[in-house]
Amino acid sequence: MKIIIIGDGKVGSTLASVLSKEDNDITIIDKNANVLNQTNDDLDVICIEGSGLNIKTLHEAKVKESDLVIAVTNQDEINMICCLYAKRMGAKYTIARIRDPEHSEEIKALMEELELNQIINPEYTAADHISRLVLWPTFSDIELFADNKVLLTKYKIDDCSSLIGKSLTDITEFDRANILVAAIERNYETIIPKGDFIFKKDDYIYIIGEVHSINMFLQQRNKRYNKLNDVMIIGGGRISIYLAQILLKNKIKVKIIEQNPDKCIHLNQILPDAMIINGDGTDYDFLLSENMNSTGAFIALMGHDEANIIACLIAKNSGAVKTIAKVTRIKGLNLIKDIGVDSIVSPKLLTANHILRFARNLKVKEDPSINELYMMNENKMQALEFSVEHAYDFLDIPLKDLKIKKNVLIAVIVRNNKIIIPRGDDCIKLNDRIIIITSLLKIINLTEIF
Amino acid sequence: MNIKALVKILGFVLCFEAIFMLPSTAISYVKGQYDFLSFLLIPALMLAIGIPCSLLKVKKAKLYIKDGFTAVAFSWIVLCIAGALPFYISGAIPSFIDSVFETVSGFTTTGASILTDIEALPMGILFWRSMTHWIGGMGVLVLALAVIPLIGGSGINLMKAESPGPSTTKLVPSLRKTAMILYAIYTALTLLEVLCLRIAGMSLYDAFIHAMSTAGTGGFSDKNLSVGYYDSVAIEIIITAFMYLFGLNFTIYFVALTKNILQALKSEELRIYTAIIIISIILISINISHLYNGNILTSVRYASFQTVSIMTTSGFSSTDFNLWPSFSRSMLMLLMVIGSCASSTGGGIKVIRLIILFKSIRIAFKKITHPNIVKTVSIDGHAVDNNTIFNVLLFILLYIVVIIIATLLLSIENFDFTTIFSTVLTMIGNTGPGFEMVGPLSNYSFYSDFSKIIMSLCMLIGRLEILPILFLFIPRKRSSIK
Repeated sequence: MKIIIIGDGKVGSTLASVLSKEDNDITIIDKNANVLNQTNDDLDVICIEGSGLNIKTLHEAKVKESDLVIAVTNQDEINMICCLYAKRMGAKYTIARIRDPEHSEEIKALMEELELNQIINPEYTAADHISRLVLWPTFSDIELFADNKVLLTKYKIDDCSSLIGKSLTDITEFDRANILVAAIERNYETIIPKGDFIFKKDDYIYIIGEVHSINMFLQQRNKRYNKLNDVMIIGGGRISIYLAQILLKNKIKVKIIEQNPDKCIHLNQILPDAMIINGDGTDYDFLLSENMNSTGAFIALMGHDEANIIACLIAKNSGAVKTIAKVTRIKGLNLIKDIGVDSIVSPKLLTANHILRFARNLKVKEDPSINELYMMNENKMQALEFSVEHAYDFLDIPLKDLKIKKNVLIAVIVRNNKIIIPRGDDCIKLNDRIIIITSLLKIINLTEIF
Repeated sequence: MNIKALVKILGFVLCFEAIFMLPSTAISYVKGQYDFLSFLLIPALMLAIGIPCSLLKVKKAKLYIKDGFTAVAFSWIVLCIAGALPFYISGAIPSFIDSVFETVSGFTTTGASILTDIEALPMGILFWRSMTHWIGGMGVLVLALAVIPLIGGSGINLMKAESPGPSTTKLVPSLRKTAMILYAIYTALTLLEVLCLRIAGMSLYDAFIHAMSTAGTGGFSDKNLSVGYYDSVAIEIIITAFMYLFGLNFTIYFVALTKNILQALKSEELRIYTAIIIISIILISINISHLYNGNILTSVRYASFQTVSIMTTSGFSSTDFNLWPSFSRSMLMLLMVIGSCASSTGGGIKVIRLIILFKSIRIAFKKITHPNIVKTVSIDGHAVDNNTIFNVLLFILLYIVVIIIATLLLSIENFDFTTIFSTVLTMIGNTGPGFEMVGPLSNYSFYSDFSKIIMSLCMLIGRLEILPILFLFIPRKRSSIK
């Protein structure tokens, strides 16, 4: 597929990196030659220096023959106009990043006017993700499948866990709870476990199953938190605004700490129900005076990764129930989790997942069956949800008789709203939805797993 | 340095080299000459070492720029030493240093020879000699990138170190496909030349030898008199045309094939390159016309062949230009230094670097009258960033420094200055023939072994554009805990 990405920033380069690994021809347009040189050396892409608003540059990038144009420069208006030009010049699909909360109300109209196929709003996506972490505090990592019925989450095996030293077949707890161990992260490598897999201390296990079952399972292991009533948000950027709006709707008290007084006034105008406090989010005494130690969730959304991480560590040590940090640089995410931040949110990674799903569905246009896609552990593994809409020849055959590729795991079958953790005797039927976990990143079609 | 990755790459290089030796094996078998045994054993030995190395599993696949430099420098050294074995073991060239010199001259597409009687050698050996030109022209690591998906996206650093020119352009997003396209164009043009030469009356064997030598802009012929042996206008025209084509930037072909020819012709480098050639032909024709009794057509015939041959750094000769007047010889020496276009198979400083140099000089002059003027160097309407300009100027400076040092080292042997200086220029420019004692009809056998090693290094420095080879000699201290 021919894909043109306008804007080689955080989101742009992440997208290019993921998409270029899947046989796509990628062209990146940006004004900054230094950034482009770096990207050109690191990835299999062509870089063009210039503006996406310049028709000549767009011609040079061969927009006419392109399948997908993604505009992710730092200005919404430029993105919209780039996409409009691209569409007029013959691009088949366009995606624009539009993130200003001011535009969020007329987004539908904008999409129609500009003939946009998709809009990305990394800040909203991140806010949405964080709000789920707050609303379901038991989980440190949430990915939902099958209309929010199936949950994929991560769980750390700590010192006193009874799982240590046992093999997967020895443990009946998972079976009893009707959940499945989908993958294990050990020393930053991700493994799809076999029956003889033995758990060690500090492994992260990915478990998948019905939301309720996982909740029960974690409750037995004393991992359950009660509902959170209040959150403290550090930093008053776009994510904070979206997040505060969602949380306030869910009757959770929101306290936002922002250093810039003018911004505080602006926040107060658009979020009249939230408590806005002017102050430094990394100042220990100040945070304590604002009851950091008794807050439900402490969410650090400042501009600097370091400040966010440090703020979360301070909060965790002084007793905050749950800490969430926004981290932009995705390399080394695991390291941060090890030192005690409960959840990490990377807007660009979330956005890349969204666009990747869209792009992959375009690729299998005759059979667009991917419903959800989630990249795990720094893009080394993926979870995919497919709908079974055609009479494939692998239907109605017990799984144990099917030859499934190595490193592919059929994790869940959803049939008539019932969640089945498949065993060898189960089989896939028409109109099922299935969720697979795999380290084969090229899989985009259901038939490719066999 | 990523040693495992280096060993793996060297393994692949050996395997490729062995495969390229097979045509020579077939020829020597058919002809039943004495080189057959060595062409059977050496590739077998190389495969025996190369295959296990190439199967090594490399955990850390990323190659940084320093790894690219080291890998390319080592690959070329291994390539040259292994490539010298058939000459030495078959006994065609009795001295090992001579064999290495001949092979380096082949792979770097120089075309300088130590052989006094070329026609006495077996056909398999001569075929291998021209084959080294063909492999060296486009580069063996570019081939490795095209054929094997070993290095992922970071292979760009191999390509940067191996292909000539100030910057490396990807033709298509995938590096692997870019390398494939380059080799496809290269092969297609070579085969086209074989066809043309065959029609013009050469035997198929000779056509292949000359086509491969032209393609790499090398200059090895299987005749003592080089192209002059045929004394055929048609053959000279064909070879001139193809030397010109192989001296062009290969990106131009890609643009011409995928977009349109008009856009390809707009390239500044192409225009300046062509202009230099045409002006040189006119000046030299006028200068040498008295040698051919004022016959303009004859002087144009020799002048054009020789100009293109030297400018593209091929080094074929159709006449003994050592007998030409001083002006013409100085012109040829100048062309030798300029060289062909970037991303071509030729050597020299490259036309694009000179364009950047002269545009920078013009801006420097403007700065004298308007000290606060802001002006950037631009090529084909695209601004060249300061970093690139700095590298270009540094390259030209280093080129001169290397010439001076090499001249000094070769002067230890007491030959006349023109001989020594033209030897250094022709080695670093990867051209082939020089002047006086090393003219087109002479050879380099009279130099001592020490000088031959210096000359081999000069050729490698010229082909890999200085930095990768110099990088090997930079002492590095590594901090370690004891």
